[in-house]
Amino acid sequence: MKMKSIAKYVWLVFLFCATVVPLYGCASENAAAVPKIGNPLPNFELKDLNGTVHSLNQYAGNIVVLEMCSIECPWSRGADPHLVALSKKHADDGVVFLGIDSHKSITVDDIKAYAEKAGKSYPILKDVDNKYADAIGAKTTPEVYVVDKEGKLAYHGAFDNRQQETQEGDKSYVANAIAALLDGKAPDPSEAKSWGCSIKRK
Amino acid sequence: MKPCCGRVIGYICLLAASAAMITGCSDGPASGEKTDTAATPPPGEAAPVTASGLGALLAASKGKVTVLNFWAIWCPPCVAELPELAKFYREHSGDTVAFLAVSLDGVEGIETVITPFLKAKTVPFPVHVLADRDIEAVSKAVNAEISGALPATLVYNRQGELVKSWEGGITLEELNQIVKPLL
Repeated sequence: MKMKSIAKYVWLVFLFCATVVPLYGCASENAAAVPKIGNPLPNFELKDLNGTVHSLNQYAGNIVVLEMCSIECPWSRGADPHLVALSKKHADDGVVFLGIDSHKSITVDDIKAYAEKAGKSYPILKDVDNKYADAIGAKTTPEVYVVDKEGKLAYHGAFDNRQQETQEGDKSYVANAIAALLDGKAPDPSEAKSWGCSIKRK
Repeated sequence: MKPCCGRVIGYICLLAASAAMITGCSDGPASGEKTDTAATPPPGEAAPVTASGLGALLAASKGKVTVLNFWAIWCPPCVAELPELAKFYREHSGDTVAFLAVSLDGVEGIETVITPFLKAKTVPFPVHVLADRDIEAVSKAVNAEISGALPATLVYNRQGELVKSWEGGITLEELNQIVKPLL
């Protein structure tokens, strides 16, 4: 190859690096793949507190509500009574509720004790080494992902718009998202942020 | 590829690279917008701040490296990092660092909860208590895509540009590694 051609390719590689590297360098500590609304959510195979393996794929055809939860975070605990009530309300509507605990320091026994005390009746899955949290870009607890019957992400974010950890908000984002999907519509809003606790990663 | 095509692509890449380098990660606090003024309480004490007041505080700190920490008493890792932040604050109190601690505990608890807590923990820095906890308004005021996860520490350079968005607990060493090159 002639020197001129080599120089041209070196120049292009340099420009590519100069363009792409600064953009990626801006990402925050744990910003992995942030899910996009309308895209399929990655599958998981995670054990619940009794050792039973659950996967997202096994619930294809159902609306799935995934809650990144924490037994220590007051905002997550504050949302629990409302999420549990919502799971019971939709028990016969083909809506599956699953909690996911990705915190490094929380054991299965810790979660069992909390779930029993708090009446958290739907399965809670242990995400060992926060691998699934990384795969879906989860950062906060509580952070909710609502997946439609086709396995596509339909809603992502806050449970509701509460301004305090135990005070119910006046916009019930997750409840509205489930109602919209059951009605054959797209949730609006499809994304909302919430204060909460960071996921304690390994 | 024709030589002219390579040259055109080269120019496009050069333009994109220049834009990426110039704009950096994010703009600093919004300028030109009407913002509330906000009073800074004495060290170790707490006072309310609105989201726009927070934006005004950030705008006023331009010229200094600014560390903005979101925390709450109910957040165990936030409480755990307080001694590290206290050391950082004391270490940099004489130089060009502005330290803004923003509490999510609610203004209704300033007298009954927050002030007693700050005294008990001998927190040396002033604490701004968010009166308006609308996360979208706060994100806009601090010009950062904050996720809402606490604790969160944002570091701005002297030009007011966001250079680091750190979620989760931070140590004195980790914070100094980010801040010192900016001084």
